[in-house]
Amino acid sequence: MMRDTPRTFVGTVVFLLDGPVCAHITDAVHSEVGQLDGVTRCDLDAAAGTLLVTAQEPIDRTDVIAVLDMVGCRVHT
Amino acid sequence: MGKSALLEDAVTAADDLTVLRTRGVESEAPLPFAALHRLLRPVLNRLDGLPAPQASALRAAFGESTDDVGDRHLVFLATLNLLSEVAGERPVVAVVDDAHWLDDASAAALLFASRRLEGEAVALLFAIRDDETGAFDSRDMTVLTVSGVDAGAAEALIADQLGATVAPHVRAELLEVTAGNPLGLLELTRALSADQLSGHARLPDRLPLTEGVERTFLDRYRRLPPPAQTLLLVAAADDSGRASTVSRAAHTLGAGTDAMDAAEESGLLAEDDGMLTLRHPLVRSAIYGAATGSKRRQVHRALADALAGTPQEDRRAWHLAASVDGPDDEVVGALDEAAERARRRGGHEAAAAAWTRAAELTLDPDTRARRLFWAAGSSVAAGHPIEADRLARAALMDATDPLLRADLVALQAQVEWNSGSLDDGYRLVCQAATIAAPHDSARARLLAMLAAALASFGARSGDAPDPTTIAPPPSADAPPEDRVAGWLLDGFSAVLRDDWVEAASALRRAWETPIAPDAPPMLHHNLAIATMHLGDDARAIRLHDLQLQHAREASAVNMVEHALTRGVVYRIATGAWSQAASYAQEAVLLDRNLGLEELVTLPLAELAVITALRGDPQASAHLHELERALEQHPPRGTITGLVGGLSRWAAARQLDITPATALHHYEQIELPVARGLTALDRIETAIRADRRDLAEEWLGELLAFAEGTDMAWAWAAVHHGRAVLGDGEVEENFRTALEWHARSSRLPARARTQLALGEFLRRNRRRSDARAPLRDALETFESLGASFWAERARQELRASGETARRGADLVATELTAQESQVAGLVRQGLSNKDVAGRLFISPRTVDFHLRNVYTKLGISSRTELAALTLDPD
Repeated sequence: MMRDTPRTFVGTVVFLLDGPVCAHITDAVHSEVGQLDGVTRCDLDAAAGTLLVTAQEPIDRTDVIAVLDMVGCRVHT
Repeated sequence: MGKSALLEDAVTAADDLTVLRTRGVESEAPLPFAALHRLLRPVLNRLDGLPAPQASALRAAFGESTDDVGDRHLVFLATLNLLSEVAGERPVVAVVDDAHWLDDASAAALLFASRRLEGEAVALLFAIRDDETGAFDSRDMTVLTVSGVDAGAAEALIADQLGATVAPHVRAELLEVTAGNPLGLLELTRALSADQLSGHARLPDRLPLTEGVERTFLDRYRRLPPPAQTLLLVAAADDSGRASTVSRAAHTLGAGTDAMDAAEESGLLAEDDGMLTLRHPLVRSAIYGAATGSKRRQVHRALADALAGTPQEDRRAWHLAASVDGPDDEVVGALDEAAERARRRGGHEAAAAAWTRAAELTLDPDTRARRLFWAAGSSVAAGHPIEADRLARAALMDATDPLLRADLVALQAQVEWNSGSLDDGYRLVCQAATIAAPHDSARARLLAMLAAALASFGARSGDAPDPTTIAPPPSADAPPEDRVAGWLLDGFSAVLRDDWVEAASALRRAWETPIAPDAPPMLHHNLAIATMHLGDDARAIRLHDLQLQHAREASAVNMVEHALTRGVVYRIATGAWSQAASYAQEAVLLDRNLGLEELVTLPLAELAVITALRGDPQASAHLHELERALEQHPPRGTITGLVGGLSRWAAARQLDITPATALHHYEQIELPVARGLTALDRIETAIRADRRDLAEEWLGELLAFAEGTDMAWAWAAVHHGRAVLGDGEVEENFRTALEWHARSSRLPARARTQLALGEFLRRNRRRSDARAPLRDALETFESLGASFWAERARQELRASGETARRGADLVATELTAQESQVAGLVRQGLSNKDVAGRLFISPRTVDFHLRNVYTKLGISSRTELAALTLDPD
């Protein structure tokens, strides 16, 4: 699949962060991703290098990645 | 950066060679071995030249049979050997373009082959874009970085390809923007007007290269009529390149033959022999990226429908997955099937991806978590522990079923103790057992048994519960598997408390209770491992040889390695040193040939011990090799304690070492198994280093073990130790030790007691009494190839008045490890093909090593090789 192939999901997806993130970006990720429709939980663990996103309603993974790109948080796709 | 043109050039120059070609395709990531299949398709008729298990594994991997691949190292090996087989006729150039987009399974197979083509007439050329972060790892390959073209070349290129002339300052700007990328230069030049090129009109604002080129493609795309745009979008979303599929899908979206013609006329798409090619990968990303999400989903749905009823089920499943905007049972079912197919074909990454995708579209949390659990299991099989851990963590967010949670935590534990921290792995197994306990006590007991086994090999954790308290003991009428798990749990726990009475009785009950062959592998595995704690060599060798046989039949590489290295430990004790060295060497080669370097310290430590015990002149070289490996790959997980103990033993047994230094090494051996193996050395060294206190302490430890277990080798060592310490009647202690030795299979220890007794008698002027034990000792040492001890026995014999014969001269050889391994197997009568299968190298590499062996030994045939004395057996 390509980077922007539609990929809706429900449940929890763990994204691996591409490099360290600062506190500012961590806050931005929490507020921006948390506001996406369907997202019920968003945990960025800077030390472990992971971002957990839980959705109860279907949401497109490419939308999450677009928001992450926007706030400057790079993840492995 | 012109890489494809370079490959093209190489292929043209290779017209007298066999050329095989493939390329990575971004959208093929979920299709296991797709790129490899294209590469090898022209030579699959040569599969018969391969060992049968490899040939059928390759067929299964390519979906040409419905068999299970089993261990996918067989597929890798088949790739290697097929290339080698074809190269036997004519040299081969295998060309892989866009290697950064290879599907994971193909990449793994090709990397495996590329690192093992020593001595073969095969060239592998990979072209890779350095701005793509694919799974392709080009380490330890010869890399040619293609840089941009200079001004002169740019002028020539533009004139040659476009017939255009460009003003020098415009060309300089274009060169800077494109960093000299030839394709980018041409595309941007094409996009500019004649006035811009001649410098009469302003250039557009500077853009990043990719975006600039994409934009020129996109402009051309947007000028097309809507049906042609639809067709191009379908072609961009398609991953097969088949014109029929794309046309069929486009047709359902209202784009007919006119659309195809218009798309071709635009130059963005070309059709040749039923295959569609987009002008450039950037055409695909530009067009696809510009479409809305709902339009993309619509196109994927059309492609899925176009593939219905064709053999392209995997592609169809992935198009379906891209076509839905929420959970969907039909799609999940198709993905489940794709995952199962991938698993059977050895495409573990693809199986993990399909199960992960299926989970994302599953509404019920437990069902979703179960799919993530399967995905994690496939990631472990693919050798991606970090990915497996990440999937297990996601699953634990959802899973409520306690047994599923226990399975998930147990999987995380396995990842930890194999590739991370033994202690963390131990803590997680205890946690998994605790989660399972209220719901399934048999499962909890099995996990608790595993925890206790890890603890008995050195795992520690401050906050983990005592494994024996996690599950109640099995009832007397429980199935034998449950009772055996219970006894193993008791046995391992008793070992940890140095309670040898309990350990011996529980372990013996476990061993003596028959269990079904299809009982959990974990149970069989730990029954074999437990033999180490009692030093029950005969049972240990039997169980591990059985394991080795099963592993070889299944070509299960990791299990072969495990059975080999564990089997060596006991053979060191019994003196089957030639076989032990051969097993250890096979394991070293296997680890190195198959990229299991993190395991290599164990067989290296075993080789270092064997050569040190023999007093081999190569002993110090082996120790140095071990030390280097320990620096590069510090042992992790379950082998840590054993590697540490064996390394200390090898260091302490170097010939030029002082007793004080040797003692320092022995004092640091902690693992009970290693303490048992070195018991006699430790006591003798303590006495020589004037540390009677330590010798007594260690003798006490050994005595407690002997009293608890009643193992003959331990009693023999106790009496030998007493004699060395001068407790009671020395000769009587030595003779009692020999009586116990007669019941044990540890030949080296027996001969050492005979030597010590002989020395004692000779020093007490009983020269004729001394000769019998000395002769026995010498005979054993010579048969073991223990030159250091044999020489001591000879000196003692001479001092006791006997003219000892000189030992047989051995042929001195300087074969490399791989050469001596090949020579050893050929001497056993194996054909080159069988040797290749055994060592996981190609038959032609075997031939290459064998020719070196002949040259070094000055011989010219297998018969001569078989007749040589290379190593005492």
